[in-house]
Amino acid sequence: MSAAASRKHTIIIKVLELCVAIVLLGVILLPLAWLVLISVRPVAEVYAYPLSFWPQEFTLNAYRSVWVSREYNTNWVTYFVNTTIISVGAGITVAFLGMLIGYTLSRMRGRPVQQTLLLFVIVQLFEGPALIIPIYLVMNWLGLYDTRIGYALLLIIFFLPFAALLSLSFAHSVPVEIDEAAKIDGCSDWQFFYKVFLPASKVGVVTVGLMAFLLMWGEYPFALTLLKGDNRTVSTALVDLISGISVYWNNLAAAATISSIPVILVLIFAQRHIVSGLTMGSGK
Amino acid sequence: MSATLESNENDLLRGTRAFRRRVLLLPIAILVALMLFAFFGLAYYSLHRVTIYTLVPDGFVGLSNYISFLTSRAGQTAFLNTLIWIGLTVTCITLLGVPVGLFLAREGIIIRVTRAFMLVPWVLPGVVTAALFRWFFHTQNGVLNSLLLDWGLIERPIRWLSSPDLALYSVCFAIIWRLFPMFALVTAAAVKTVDRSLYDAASIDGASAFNRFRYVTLPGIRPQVLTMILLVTIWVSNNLVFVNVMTGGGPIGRSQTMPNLIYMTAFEVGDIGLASAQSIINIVILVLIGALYIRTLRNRQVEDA
Repeated sequence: MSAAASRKHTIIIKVLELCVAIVLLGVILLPLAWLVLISVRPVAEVYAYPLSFWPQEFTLNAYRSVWVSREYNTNWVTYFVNTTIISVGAGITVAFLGMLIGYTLSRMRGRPVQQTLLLFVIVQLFEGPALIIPIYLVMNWLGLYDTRIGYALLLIIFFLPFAALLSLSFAHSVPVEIDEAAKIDGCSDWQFFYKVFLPASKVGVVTVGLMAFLLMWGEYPFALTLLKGDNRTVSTALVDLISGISVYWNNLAAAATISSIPVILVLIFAQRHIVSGLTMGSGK
Repeated sequence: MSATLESNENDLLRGTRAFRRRVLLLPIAILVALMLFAFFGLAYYSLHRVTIYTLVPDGFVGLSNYISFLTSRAGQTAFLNTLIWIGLTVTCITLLGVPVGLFLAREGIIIRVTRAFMLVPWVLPGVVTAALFRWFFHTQNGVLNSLLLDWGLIERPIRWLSSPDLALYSVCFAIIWRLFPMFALVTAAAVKTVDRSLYDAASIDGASAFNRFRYVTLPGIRPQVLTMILLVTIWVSNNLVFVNVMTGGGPIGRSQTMPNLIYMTAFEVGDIGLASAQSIINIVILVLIGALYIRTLRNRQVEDA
């Protein structure tokens, strides 16, 4: 009797869970499904009333006109390659340098560490539109305005504090005892970092790198102010498709869909890393 | 014998110190120089007349850039909007994020599948989300109006993004959608670290479900949730893309926030002096948030110790 009652109870709870889950997934995924479904429609259907959820006619015209035919006098393949090279290159650099700084700080004690951490927090706090004017000036003076290398260097500098803070939590989990053992064996600090510490904290480096990649891929304020023409990344190039007089939503959707594929792939294959990166970041 | 050992140790220590200097000095020097230049540069430029065309200060103007910001309708609106924008979105993200996080901390296949999709909005490029919602809220072709009309809930299309009273809130909705699932996922991870035996003890003592939440779960997840709230506050305060792409601050500046105002004043109007004054005011807002952040971190360190 009581066993049957508790089974009924469990079923009710599961049904409630399912309802909540469906609402949540609907809220999160329907806008995205809509984005993809719009990208495969002909223009006429985009402006049809009433709108239908499923396309009446399937076409890849939008993808062709944005990515292949260069109808808009734009060069989407270039933007995509730019974004990939910049965010992969800067992501790897930041992951490596961040772990180097994180390792060094994790083996130090006292005021210098506190002050460095404070500096990192301050940079992260102000990094954004409040600093675009000084950044614009510096980049102009250095001749790095509207260059991809300049933009990548800027990303490296501004993401380094984030990467170092995250790396620090990983570095703390590698015990100091192995440092001492290696050094008695005659290992220099650099050799130790490169040959022992880095392999031991591979998960941390990968996590930091992936997080940095995700954030850099969609970076907007600095890309908007510093990159023009063929130097642009997908973020700012997308805005062109919106700010024209007539917006072809199917073309915009096609550009947005392809621009989102890399980050979705990272999420699919490295979900665990991203979640641990986020929770470690908030645990600090 | 012991003398050589000691000198060896000294050598090691010296080597380590040199290594640390080599690793830390350059990045710290660059960051400090950049931040100092940014603050002093902005302060200097904000007191001068500077345009984007020359980038050379042309005459000292005292506080007139600040005065023209603080007395102009556009400036006041942007300042108040920024406070509404931060307050409203952070509140909603927290109020949605914590309960959803508790839900996601449960066990079973349904929950695991849901959890797998929670980070999708956060990883998407901000521009994609902003574009998506610009269109979701579009007056004529938007999905929202189309649905509401279909269901007979409204008679006429609502101008979500082009009516002065609604635009800011529609933009808020988009950033809430982007950030609350991520907040929930981090909360769920925090809930899972709460010591299970505390729940058993509470049950034995006859605590109700609400009391178990109030006295066991909440204190257990408080540090992470507080840090998340502050991180989200910083992200939201520094967010340019949503206002920039969805409304451009319009109509008539009614959805303007400080980040977009700075961008537009500097790069569309070309008034670097005024934009620098706006940046300084934005920095003051950020300093207040930062002070809160550092205080919370301090308290945590005291609790941990």
